[in-house]
Amino acid sequence: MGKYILHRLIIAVPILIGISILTFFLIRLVPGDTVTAILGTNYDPKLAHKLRSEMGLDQPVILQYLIWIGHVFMGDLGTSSFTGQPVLSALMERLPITLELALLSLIVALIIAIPLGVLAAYKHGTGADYASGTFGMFGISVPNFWLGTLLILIFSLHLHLLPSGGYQPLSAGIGENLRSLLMPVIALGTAVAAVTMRSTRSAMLDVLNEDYIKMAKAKGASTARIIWKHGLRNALVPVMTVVGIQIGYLLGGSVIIEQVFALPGMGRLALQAISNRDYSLLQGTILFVAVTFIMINLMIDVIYGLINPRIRYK
Amino acid sequence: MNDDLLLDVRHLKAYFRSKQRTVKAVDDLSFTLKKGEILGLVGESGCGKSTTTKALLRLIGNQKNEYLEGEAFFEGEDLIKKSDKQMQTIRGNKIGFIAQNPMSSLNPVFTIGNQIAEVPQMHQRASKNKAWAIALKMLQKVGISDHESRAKQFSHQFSGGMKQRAVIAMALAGNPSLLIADEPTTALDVTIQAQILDLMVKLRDETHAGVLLITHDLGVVAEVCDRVAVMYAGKIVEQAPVDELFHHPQHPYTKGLLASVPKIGSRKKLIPISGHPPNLYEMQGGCLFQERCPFAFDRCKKTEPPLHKIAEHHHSACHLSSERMNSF
Repeated sequence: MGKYILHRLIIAVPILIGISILTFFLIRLVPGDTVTAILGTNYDPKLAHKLRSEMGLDQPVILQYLIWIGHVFMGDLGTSSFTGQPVLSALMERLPITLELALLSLIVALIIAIPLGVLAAYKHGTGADYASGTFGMFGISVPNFWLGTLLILIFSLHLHLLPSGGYQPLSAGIGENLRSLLMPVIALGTAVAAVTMRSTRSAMLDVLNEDYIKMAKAKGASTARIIWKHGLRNALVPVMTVVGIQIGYLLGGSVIIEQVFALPGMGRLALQAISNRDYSLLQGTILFVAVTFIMINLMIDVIYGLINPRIRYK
Repeated sequence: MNDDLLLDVRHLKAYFRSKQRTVKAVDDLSFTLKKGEILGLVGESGCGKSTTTKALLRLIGNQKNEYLEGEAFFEGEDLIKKSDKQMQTIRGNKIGFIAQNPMSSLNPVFTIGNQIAEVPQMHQRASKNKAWAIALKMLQKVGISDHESRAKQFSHQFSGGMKQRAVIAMALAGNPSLLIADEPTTALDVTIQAQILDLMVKLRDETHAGVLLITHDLGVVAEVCDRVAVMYAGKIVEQAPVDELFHHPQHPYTKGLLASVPKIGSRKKLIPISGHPPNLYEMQGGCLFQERCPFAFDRCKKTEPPLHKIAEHHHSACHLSSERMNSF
């Protein structure tokens, strides 16, 4: 297993380099650069030229990339050309917020989706099944930003129960912290819950028709034991794959949700960096998100191996 | 004699209903099984053999469209009247079940030992350690070498024959007095088949459990069974001790079955039974076998022949065999 994880980490390096090349060159295709963003539309060309050469932006793009990636390999992500803050410290401020949002959304989604999916499969063709099917369709069809806006409208503007935006850190108390994240988690997690619920249902339906389930019944196992022990453990194997894919959605969706709820996370940071043409900040953010994505997927694969004994990593 | 009686099935019916029709998968089935006896239940695919086992274990009869009727006295108690909760304490405990397909009957995500140990854990409330010890003993009993390390393996690490041994170990772990084996060797290679059959006979001798062996393979029947019941279209058409049945078959269907089995050394052409079994939902009156029977005559179309006793322990449901008896 250790060898497998190491192998995966080594493979991650070329993937990350590829991502860094893509972001580096794509952002430079966008009209305007850091200097025009700082100086505004009516700028003095002399000053702009001076600033460009200070920032090294007058060098050939490939050379710029090599200089930047060389620094990255030494652990230096550079400084924000807009605020002057080191990129790493800016990321470290924002990362916990995005991680908390994504992980809470995932956990809440799984806690709701898996029992619901199991129930829908066990009671398939009944009212409970159709009700959860409707929830599934709703969750998949509704865009998260619309759901977020609707939640703000109901719970903040009309009922005054929850804050409409902003982030309360854990240091403000866990209650305040969770209150500030409740609506973002629902807005972001609903689609994940819907997809997971549907895949749990179909996986469970397949599993419940397997011979070993009939065998468990013939052994005298109770219905609860058949479903939760013999059934679910098998159904989780395909469900985990779907969950792994959902992680990418969660990280991407957090960009939008952070914007809707004014949460100062990584997604918001990336958006700001794009509109400011803050090259080093954007490159650092994307690289960080990619690393997070790869690490979470690796974690999922390790859990996958623990659930499914037929997979042995070498 | 009744002390020896383990299973007494009387007029068992298992129907499947849909909006348009009713399929009489098992229709008015009666048979008995003694302790330590191996009864073979033989017939073509779709004749109701497997449905019979499922009905006895009450794995069917709980859905709206499934209908069960009749009596099945097991150790004096009627299985058909039991609630599902009561059946849970009987399944796997007093009645062991060996499934048709060992390849898919083991749960892929639990170790073999874990799955066997589950049986004493559920039924005897055995501790984890004790249940594991029982599992190891069972694996040894069914002839799995290196059983201590094998118990920690998963089903994908077992060969087909070993899987069936593990399934048998699982069926025996509750120390049942009745074993129901549904085509236990169908999915296995011929050499492994013989090993599994030997094992079942050996285990029967040791535990003195009664065995209901479902099969379509007359070779299997000849090798291990004490008594045979031949099923056709949901009914038993002939019942006799194994030697009697092979040497003096009475029912035309049994004769047809025997004639369609190749014999080593014989160059005689095999004679198949013509036609197909009747649709179980479009049954007309009279004998169910009449359309395929070379000896059918008027009476077969009008009245369905009941099981006649034609010799001690030999019964046949054919107008001809009863007539022959009367003419003697």
